[in-house]
Amino acid sequence: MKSLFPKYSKRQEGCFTIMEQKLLKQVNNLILDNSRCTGCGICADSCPEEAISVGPVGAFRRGAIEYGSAVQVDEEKCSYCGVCTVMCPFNAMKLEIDGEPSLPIVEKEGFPVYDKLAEIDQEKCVQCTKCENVCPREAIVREVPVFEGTDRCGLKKAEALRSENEFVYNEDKCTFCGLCGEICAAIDVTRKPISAETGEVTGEVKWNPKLCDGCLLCAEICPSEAIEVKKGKISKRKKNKGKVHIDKEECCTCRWCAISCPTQAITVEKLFEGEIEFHAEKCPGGCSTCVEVCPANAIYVPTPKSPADMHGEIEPNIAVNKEFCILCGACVNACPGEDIIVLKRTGLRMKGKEDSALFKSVKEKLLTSRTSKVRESKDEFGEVEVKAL
Amino acid sequence: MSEYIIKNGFVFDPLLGIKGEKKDIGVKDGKIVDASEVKKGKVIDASGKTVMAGGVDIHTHCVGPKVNIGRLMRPEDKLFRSRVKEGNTRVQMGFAVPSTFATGYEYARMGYVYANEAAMPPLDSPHIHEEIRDTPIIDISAMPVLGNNWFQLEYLKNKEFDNNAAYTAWLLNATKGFGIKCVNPGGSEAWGWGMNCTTIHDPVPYFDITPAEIIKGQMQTNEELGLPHSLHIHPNNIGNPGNYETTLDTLKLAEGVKTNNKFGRDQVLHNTHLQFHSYDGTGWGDFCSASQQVMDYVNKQKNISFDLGCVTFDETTTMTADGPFEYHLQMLNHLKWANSDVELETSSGIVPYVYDPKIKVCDIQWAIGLELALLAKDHMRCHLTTDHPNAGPFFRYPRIIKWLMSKKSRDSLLHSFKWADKVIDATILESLDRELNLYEIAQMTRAGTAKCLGISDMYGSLREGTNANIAIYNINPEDMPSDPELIEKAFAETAYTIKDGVIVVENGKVVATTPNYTVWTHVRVPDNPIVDHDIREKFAKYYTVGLENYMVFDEHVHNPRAIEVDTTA
Repeated sequence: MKSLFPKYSKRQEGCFTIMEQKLLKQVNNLILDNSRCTGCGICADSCPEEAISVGPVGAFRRGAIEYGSAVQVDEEKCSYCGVCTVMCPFNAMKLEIDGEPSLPIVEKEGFPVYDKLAEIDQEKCVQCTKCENVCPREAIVREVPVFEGTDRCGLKKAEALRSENEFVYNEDKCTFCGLCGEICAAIDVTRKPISAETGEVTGEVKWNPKLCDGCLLCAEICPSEAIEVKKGKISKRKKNKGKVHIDKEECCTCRWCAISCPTQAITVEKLFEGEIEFHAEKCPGGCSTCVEVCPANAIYVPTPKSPADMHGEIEPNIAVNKEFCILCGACVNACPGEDIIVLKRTGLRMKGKEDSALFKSVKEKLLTSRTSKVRESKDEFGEVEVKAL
Repeated sequence: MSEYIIKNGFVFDPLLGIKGEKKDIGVKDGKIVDASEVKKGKVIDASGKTVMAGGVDIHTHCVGPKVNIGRLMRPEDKLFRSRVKEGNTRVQMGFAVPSTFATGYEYARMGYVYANEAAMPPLDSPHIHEEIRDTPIIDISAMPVLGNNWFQLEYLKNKEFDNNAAYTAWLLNATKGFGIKCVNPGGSEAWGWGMNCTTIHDPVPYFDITPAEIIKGQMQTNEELGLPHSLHIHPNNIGNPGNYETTLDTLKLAEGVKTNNKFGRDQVLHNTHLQFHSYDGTGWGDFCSASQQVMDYVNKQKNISFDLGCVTFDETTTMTADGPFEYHLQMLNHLKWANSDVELETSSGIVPYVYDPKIKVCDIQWAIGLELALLAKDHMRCHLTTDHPNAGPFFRYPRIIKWLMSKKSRDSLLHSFKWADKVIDATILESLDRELNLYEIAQMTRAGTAKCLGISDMYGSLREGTNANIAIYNINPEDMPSDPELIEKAFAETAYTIKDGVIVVENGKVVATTPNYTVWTHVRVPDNPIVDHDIREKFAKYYTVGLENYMVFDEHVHNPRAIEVDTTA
């Protein structure tokens, strides 16, 4: 008779695939977040139990299939050790013990972790919007107040400046018509209660220097030429409250932000060292699966040149920008061709004890050069098999 | 078959050097024989009439896809402008772009028996052959367009002349084509990307070969194969003021090139519709004739020939494999425009055009066409065409003959123009007193064209033993009519047209039809595995049709009459 414990199960909850091992007193869960998983297969290479396999990466990442996931974990083979959680560069694997995130292997210093360097120098950062825009992983956290340029209810544009304007209005000339206040947030015209006793409309014109951007429209529009604005110096844009930082968990170290930052405020070091080669002459074209699966947006289909500039050369079918490639391997797993993409990792940035036999074997697997293969062996149907070089 | 004897006509046969001598012509079993051999035949009294060989048109757009687009897009061309059905004929529809039946009958009425379709997109060759089948009486050949063909651009770019020759031979055989036509070399391919090549040195996008290299390469290929006709070129920069310089640059490419053929052809380059390529000035404001500059050169060079492309002052339809030109024309006159780009091969465009005598530009174009003919020293190398229907429909040939033979008719038209003074200033036509004679007309319409096409052993002459293709005109060379209109009438309606020994037209009426033939050039070249491979590869990768279906099926060619060329011997 089969024993009841340990009891294994696997279930799908939204974008999560949850592997479960139930012991008498303890419940271990390995949770795969399919919204973050890129199909890179680093987990599969790292798994000491060979419980993880890579599946239909391209189809899954494109949303062409609703079932399944880019990688599959055999919940019975899995030892719930957490190495995959440690090694996943995309924060897609979580180990929970009794419902609490936990990584005993790291806590007990039995396995190193990535030495991820991804920082923004707040002194240099001008809080612009480029890094947020280029980041392929939503790892940039931009906690900066919004302005009216993007949100009508946001801060007024004048609040972005340090200005020293001066606003003078001639009380004798002013008719308290209220026009200036109507058009400008910096001006407030308040009228005294009217009374037939005087039969006059009087009041006060208040000016808020913080909201004045020195546009001079108030002076132009004043019917009685009662306003004078002296445009003072506008010093550099002032920094607003809040900051821009990188969520290290989400960052895949592609360096898009660091390369794009206009003030070189960002430092990011890649997790892997090595080389990637694209043999475009072998690419059949018309597929672009690698472009779509690349988590770092490093692969592109070269834009055709104007025919007058072609001079007998047709643009390659596919290309990679090595600056952005993180050597994750998703492209190799997804490519349906043969020998088009060759991935060679030569080093990993880790911190912690690297001399355990377990880590050495994981590292050896990860550093094995690889490329994709067309005819894979039949007995592992449904799993990706790459060609080790 | 019946026998005839044509008695007492004034015979003009420049190929035999016969200049209006009174001579009897015998016809027996469809062939021309010595009059003494005809014993019991019907006698055709040609006294006071002119007898010539059947006419040979060297350049006309009378069959094929762009012609048919022209028919389709212009139903108004038929309304009130079609001929009333006569006798036993089929319905004849259309004016500028007549239906196939109207085309055949109309040519026969003018005494023509042969037409060379000027531009056949190779991919669409079955369409050409279908229409040839339905064109009565006249024999037709068609030239595949090659100046923008990818195979050829690549072979010529890489200077693989043998491969280009093998490919050209294969294409002529596959399409049952006649010779090499080149339209706006490189420019029609550039038009695939919305561009053009306006000089002979503008490189073709991507292919990086210049029109000059294409033209030289094609001439070399043509002579290497020894085809009956020469390279037939429509140069770059058609229809633009100042383009005569491009034309001269193009013609100069023939300098030093020698002919190699066994068909009696002397030229290596035939410049078609030269009128459209003889423009001076910088814009339409100072637009003027460059006929003098062009003809000074053409008269000196012996190895080039040309046809006129005369404007006839009609509402017509332009159609050419020069896609960018047609687009340009449409931007100018804002009339409807059709365009067809043919994969790997060529392009084309169709735009209606009205040559209105009230417009200065049209008048100057008219004058240039006539000037070219009047300045020509050798009419064996100067041929009568209208680039039908581009400068006007072909059935205006008699009108052009009238203008060429009568200064009186030219001058009265010239002086009737709204902008007569400006036209006279911009042209030299008024100063030209020359009136062409019937011998020169015969050179321009049959002897010269047949020789230039390399078919003078079959057409264009009344030589004994050839097929009896004869035109008898109601015109007396010893008593030329004082009214020029009678010249036009005589050439528009023959007294008799005889095709292969059958009287098909009598007194300007079509009375019978006779089987017509498809003339093509069968070229044998040594096996060329590289070209075989390239053809298979290009069809697999780029063509939307299969190689086996691309080649015209034998049963699809109507009465083929192959001219044999063998380079393997």
